[in-house]
Amino acid sequence: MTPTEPGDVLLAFWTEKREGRGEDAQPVAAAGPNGGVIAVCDGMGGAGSARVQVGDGEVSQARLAARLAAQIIAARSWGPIEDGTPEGLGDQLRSGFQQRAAELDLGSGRLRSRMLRTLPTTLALGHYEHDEDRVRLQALWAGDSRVYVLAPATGLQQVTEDDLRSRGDAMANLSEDSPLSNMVSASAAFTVNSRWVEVPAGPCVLLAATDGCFGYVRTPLHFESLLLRAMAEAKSYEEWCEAVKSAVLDITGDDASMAIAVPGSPPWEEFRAAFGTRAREVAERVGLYDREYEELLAARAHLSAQEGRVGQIRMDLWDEYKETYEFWIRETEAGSPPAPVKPAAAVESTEIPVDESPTRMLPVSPAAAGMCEHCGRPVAKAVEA
Amino acid sequence: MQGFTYSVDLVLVVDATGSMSGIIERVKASALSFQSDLQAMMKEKNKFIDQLRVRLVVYRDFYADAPEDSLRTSPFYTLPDETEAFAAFVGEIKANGGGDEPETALEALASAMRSPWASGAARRRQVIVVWTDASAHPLEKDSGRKPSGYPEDAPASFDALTDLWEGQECMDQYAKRMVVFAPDAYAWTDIANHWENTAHYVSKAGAGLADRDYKSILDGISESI
Repeated sequence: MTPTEPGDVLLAFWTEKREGRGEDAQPVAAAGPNGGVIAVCDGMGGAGSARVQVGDGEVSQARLAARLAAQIIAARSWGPIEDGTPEGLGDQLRSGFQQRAAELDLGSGRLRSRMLRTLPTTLALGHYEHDEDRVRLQALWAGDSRVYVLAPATGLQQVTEDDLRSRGDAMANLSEDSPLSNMVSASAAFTVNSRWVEVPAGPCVLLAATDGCFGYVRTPLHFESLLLRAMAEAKSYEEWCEAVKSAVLDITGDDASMAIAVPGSPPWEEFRAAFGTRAREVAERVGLYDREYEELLAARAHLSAQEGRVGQIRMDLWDEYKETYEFWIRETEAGSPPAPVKPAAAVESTEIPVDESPTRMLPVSPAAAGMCEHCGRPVAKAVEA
Repeated sequence: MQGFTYSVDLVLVVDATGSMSGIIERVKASALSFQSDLQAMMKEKNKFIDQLRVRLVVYRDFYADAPEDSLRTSPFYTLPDETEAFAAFVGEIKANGGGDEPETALEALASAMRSPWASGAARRRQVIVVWTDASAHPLEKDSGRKPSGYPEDAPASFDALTDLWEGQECMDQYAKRMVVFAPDAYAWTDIANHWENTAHYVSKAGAGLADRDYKSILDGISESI
């Protein structure tokens, strides 16, 4: 967590799934009296898993790329918000990445691919200013990391547009797995997209997050719910950030990083109270969904267990039944003449015939006492071979 | 901590012409182990496979071999339940025939793309892996007087084959991945340079494949790109 700078509250967290192998960079969060910058970068592990020697160790290009982008952003001098992409940002990233690639002497190797890139990473950056009337935010991005605004009246709003080939909406992106259509790298052209928005002055949150934070929730609304539930239970900004991190860790299967700015630094209790109504509304809507979803999960679990039970009963039934059902198949050869059947009179005779031929008993349940357990009819007790 | 569940279909395309005889056993071993290597890599990334199926497409050369020897395909085997049948099909592959290169590899690739891919799962992978030591006959060769038994549904040109890969008639644009272990020869270089979601390891059927390159390939298949 970064210390609070004069002017605005700045918070950040960063986690890696496997220690020392994470592909998110430490978030960037810096502010002056009337504005600042928050940013996250997520190295693309699929496109940039190739490992390179750096110092005494090897790291993935993805890990290196995210850190390089964060360094360039942190080192840049951020002036007033400009229309469009800030002058030179794209060039700074391009030249920085190409220079690093040249230093690493990556070579061409024997692997050629359009899906593999040199030093690939996402970038999502929020550059903001505020005064007594408004907060102006410029989101700059390449890839599928995001910048959001969270305000009491409007809830969570995504400012960036995921650079995905699917161009799907945020709900679709939770279930699809579309390749990225744009990312920062040293090996292919990329675009730094730009959008700026204004929100009225008052308690609000600006945040930049990688997909490890928002990509594992049930619906996009659940991400807002995660933020607001953590807020409701916290007693300070720092506790809130810790609670958000903890909630993200509970659900994510990826590295995750987030940078948060609260323009104007309102006192914590005032800030939290401003989101109270919104938090209750979101909790109600999410609760409705979650109850139905839990019922669905329970029904699936019941179905699965019932399938298992029915399957077991089916096999048990057959194992028992086939003892008699397959008697002739087991005991006689196919194609052999049928065994002679004793005349009924012989059975009814009071004189018990002496039969020298071997007699086999069919296995019958003692409880049935000569009756079929299933149909209740008499079953033959003795037959001749 | 949570992860995602995937349905994965693998189609393994193997050149079984005579020139592969020195390396066919290694290719068969690679074909048998590829699915478990991919499964392990995905698990490492919290991606769990709830349905894994594998299919074989074995090819030689319609211009040199009998039609029944030129293209042989298996059904999809669901693993692990049908591991024995899958292994038995792989075990039967013998390297022979084919005449001189090139071979009718692109016809085999078209057959692989037309596999009955699983649908339904939101997150899935459709993966084609090719092992060959030779170039491919152009699909345009001998247009109008193809050899007997030549597949009637084979694309008429490389452009048409490209459409099969890039279009949505056969392949899912998000799920598809192709890995080619082949020399720097027609049409493998063009495929790597122009087709989306492909990787080409330049070698004779993967000979000399370095661990780090193999890992990069598996990462490219298992991770988002």
